[in-house]
Order: sequence, then C-alpha cells, then structure tokens
Amino acid sequence: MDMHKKDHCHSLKSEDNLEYSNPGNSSFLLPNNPSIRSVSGNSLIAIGQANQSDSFSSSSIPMDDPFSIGFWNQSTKPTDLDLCKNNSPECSNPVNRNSSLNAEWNSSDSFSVGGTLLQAANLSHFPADKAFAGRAARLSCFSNNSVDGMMSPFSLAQSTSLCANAALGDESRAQVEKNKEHKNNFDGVAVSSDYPSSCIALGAVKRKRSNEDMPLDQAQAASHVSREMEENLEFEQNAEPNSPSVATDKPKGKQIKDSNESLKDEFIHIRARRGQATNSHSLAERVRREKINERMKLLQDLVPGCSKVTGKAVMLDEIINYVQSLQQQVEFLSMKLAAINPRLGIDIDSVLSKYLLQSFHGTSGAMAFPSSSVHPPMHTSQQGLVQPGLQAMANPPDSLGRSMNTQLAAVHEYKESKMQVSNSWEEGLQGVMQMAYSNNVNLNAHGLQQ
Amino acid sequence: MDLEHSSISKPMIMAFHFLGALSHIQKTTTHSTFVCRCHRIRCAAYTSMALSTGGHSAWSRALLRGKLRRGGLRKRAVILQRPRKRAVRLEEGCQDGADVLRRLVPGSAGMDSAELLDETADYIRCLEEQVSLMRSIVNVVSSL
Repeated sequence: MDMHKKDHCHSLKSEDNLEYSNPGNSSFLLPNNPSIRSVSGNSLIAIGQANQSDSFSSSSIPMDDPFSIGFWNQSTKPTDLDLCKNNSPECSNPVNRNSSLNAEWNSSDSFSVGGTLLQAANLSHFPADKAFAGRAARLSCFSNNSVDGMMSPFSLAQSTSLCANAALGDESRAQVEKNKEHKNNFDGVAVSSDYPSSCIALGAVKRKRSNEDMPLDQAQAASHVSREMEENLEFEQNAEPNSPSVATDKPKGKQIKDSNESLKDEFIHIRARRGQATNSHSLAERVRREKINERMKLLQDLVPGCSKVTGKAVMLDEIINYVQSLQQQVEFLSMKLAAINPRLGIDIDSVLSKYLLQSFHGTSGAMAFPSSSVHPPMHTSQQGLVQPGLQAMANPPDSLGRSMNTQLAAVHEYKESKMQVSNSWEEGLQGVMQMAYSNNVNLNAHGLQQ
Repeated sequence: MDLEHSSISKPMIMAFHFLGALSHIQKTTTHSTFVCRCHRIRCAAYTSMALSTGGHSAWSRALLRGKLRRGGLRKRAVILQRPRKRAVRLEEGCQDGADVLRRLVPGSAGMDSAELLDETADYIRCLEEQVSLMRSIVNVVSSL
C-alpha cells in the first residue's frame, strides 16, 4: 500500500494511475470550495493515497481509485492528513490545503446524494456524487502549475469524469486559463466516457461552478452543490448548458427549486430554497394548487367575459355571479312559462311535439315522435306505465321513430340503473304519455306534417 | 333496428323531460296559484336538468335526492346518498373561501376545491342548456 502511495506521490505517470480510470464509480468527491481548487493535484493525489489504505480496506468499492476514496475519507478522518504527511514527504504541500479540504468535506457531509459510491463503504455520509467526480477531475485540472506534469497522467487516470469535466470547459471559472490548458490535453481523451454519470457530472459541474461563483460560504456552496447534484441526477435531460457564468442563480434557482421540491422526498438533507418548505406537504400543496388552476382555466372558458380576469378570488366572484344569474334566469323563465300556460292550455302538446320535432330535425331528420300515439292508452300503475309505453314505442314501423324510441328506452333503463329515479321519470313521462295517448290525432297530424 | 343515432343528446333528454313535466303541470294545476305553478315549473326544470346529466355529477344526484325525498320515497333516497366517507375530507379541503359557491351548487358541501370547481363547471353547462331550452319554449309558446 505504501509503495502504491509513494508511486502516486512520486510519479503519476506510473501505470498504477491507469487503475484510476474506473468509469462507473470513479466519482471523485471534490469540495466545491473555491479554495480547494487551488489545491494542487499533488495534494489531492497525496490525500487520496494517504487514505487509500483505510478506504480500500473498509470500502467495498470495486474500483481501485484511491483518489476518490481518499477524498471521502478526508472528511471523516482528518488524521489521515498526518498519514499523508508521514508517508509522502513530497506531498507536504497539500497538508496546508488539506485542512481547508477537510473543512469543505466536512460541510459536505450533510449531503446525501444517492450514488453508487455511497454504497462504497463507510462513506455513507459522504455524498458520493458523480458531479463530485467531475469536480475532482476539474480540480485536478485546475490544480496549478506544478501539477501540470502530474496532471496529464492523472487526468488519463481519471479518464472519464476528469476529461469530461475538462472538456466541458469552465468559462466561469476563475481559473479558466488553466482549464483550457488542460482541456487541450484532455480533449482527446475526454467524452469517451461510457460513464453516464459523467454527463450528469458535466451538467452538475457547470451549475456548480456558477453556484460557486456566488459569494457563498462553504456550507452554502456545499448545499448548493448538493442540490444541483441531486437535480442533475434526477434531471439529466435538464442539464442545459447553462452558461456557468451566471451572475445570479435566479433562472437556475427556479429550476433548482422545482427539482429540489421534487427531490425533497428522496434527499433528506437538502437545505430548502428560500421560501420553500421542505416537506411532502408542500409538494401535495403544489399538486393541489395545480389542479385548482387547471379547473379555474376551464371555468374561465365557460363563464363569458372572464378571459382577462386573473386571480382566483376575482375569478371565483365571477363564477358565483354567473351561477346566480343563471339560476335567476331559470326562475324568471319558469315564471314566464307559468304565466303563459293557462292561456295556452291544451296547446302545450303541440308545443311539445313541435319542439321535439324541430330538435329531432337537427339530430336525426324528421322523427315521428307521436308514434307512441298509435298505441292504446295505458292506465296501469305508474311503474307499468312507463315500460310498456316504451316498449310500445319501440314497435312502430317507422324506423327513425323506432330508433328514437329505442334510444329513449335505453336512456330510460340507463337512468334507472344509474339513479333509480324511475319515479321522477315516470312523473315526467306520465304527462307525455297521457298527452300522447289523449291526443292521437293531433300528434299524428303533426308528425305526418313534419 | 335503426340505431344510426345511437346517442341522444343531452339537451334532447332535457327537453323531453321538461316538456313532459310542463304539460303535466299545465294539466294538473289549472286551479293553482301562479306562484305555485311557478314553483312547480322551476322544480321541473331542475329535475330535467339533473336527469339529463345521467347521474354523473354530484349536484344532479343531490337534486334528485331532494326530489325523491319530497316524493316520499325514502328507499330511493337512501340509494342515492353519497358515501359518508367523503365527510372526512370536509375539514381540509373546504377552506378556500368558496363557501358561497358551495351554497349555490347543490350537493357540493362536502367537497374540496378541485371537485367543487368540476361540479361548478358541469352545473354551469347544464344551467345554460336549461335556460336556452326554456327560452326557446317560451318563444315557441308565445309565438303561437
């Protein structure tokens, strides 16, 4: 193990580095603290190596990437720094930065990003995000000057995520130049990642970068990163190549808000966005509100003159007014009908037939509604009245009338089965029946005419 | 059997019912007061409205339930009763400030806002149809 470590320390060009090229799980957890970016690749590697023994022994990760594991362990076992110090004197540089790294990682402990890496071991509390891998890659990219020599092999080692990140570019980063330098190196190697998460990492990294540009303290940055990571994990397709150079995270914020809310159930440790509650209740609330808004829109179309109205309260008032006005119209018209009726008297039958025939004109051509009139009047009980009447109606030779009668019968049966309100049906029909039976001639005449 | 028009439109059913009821009322209330007749016609209008819906909406069921109870058919009224489990949700969903609407739409007392809006939409549609039906009848009758 020591040998391994020292190899890493001394020359990254050793073939051992190629072991790093672990596609699937080689997500390197990198602190998003800007200060860490300045950490040289040396230090990173050193730390990784330093913790390698511990991590490997305990971790079940199939990958043999000390770098990432080392990083993870870094947060949990700050004592490893000493290890590093002791084991690799050449890696003494990172010691200073390791503390900052530690701080960063400790803060990021709160992240609970699902990921295969998490399963990797006692690092459960550490967010093994693939975005972190990207970060690590980039970090190595950014790692400064002295690292250049080490960077290329290192990047090769961390092929996928690193290169992907590097290729993504990093316009917003302060160390854009460094990135570009490494980009050239990595472009060839980049992107050929069979590592799906690297894509996520790419997107995540971009967003994280923009986040990092914000003047947030470490914890906040970590939280942002975690949120974004989760968002990216969940919404890969949404990884629009936001120009990372976002001064304000507002447009992103909304996105993150939405995704955050939807992710809240899965990731417990997210810090809530401003003004959003972090529980499933708020999600249910949102769903409910969406439903209500949908229906409000439907009602808007129904109620005349409400297209410009916005807001639930005003809309509600309009709806109430409209319903009240409709009910008043019904009352008024019923009064009118009541007033008209005694004058017309018997003529209501003709009204009925006329109206129905007119209506049937529209639907099915001339209908002989009064086909029922041919049948003998039935004065049986109410229940008996309806069905024989309907069946009788079904008999007439007039095909159209027959269809209509059948339909009416079907409707009737349907209604009965549905609501079992045959009495009200009977009440209505009774009048029709009596009318039809008692005015055979009248209806026949009307039917034949039309 | 000629079933090319296998679906009778809702206004048709409504017209059928309403006109039947109208004629019935006209026949049986020749000696009633104007107000009484008004009331009966209005009842007939709402009943035909509810029947034309086919029992899909809660308001129609509530309307018909009311009619049945008045008609003295307790058994049928019981069948039409809405399941009481809905009452549990009464507390949560009803705080929307739409209680006026709840009073207007029959049978919408125990609903949350989303359902209430659905019922309101259906109710408004049926009301519009009923109003147009009654208007056309008035036109026809007055033109006679």
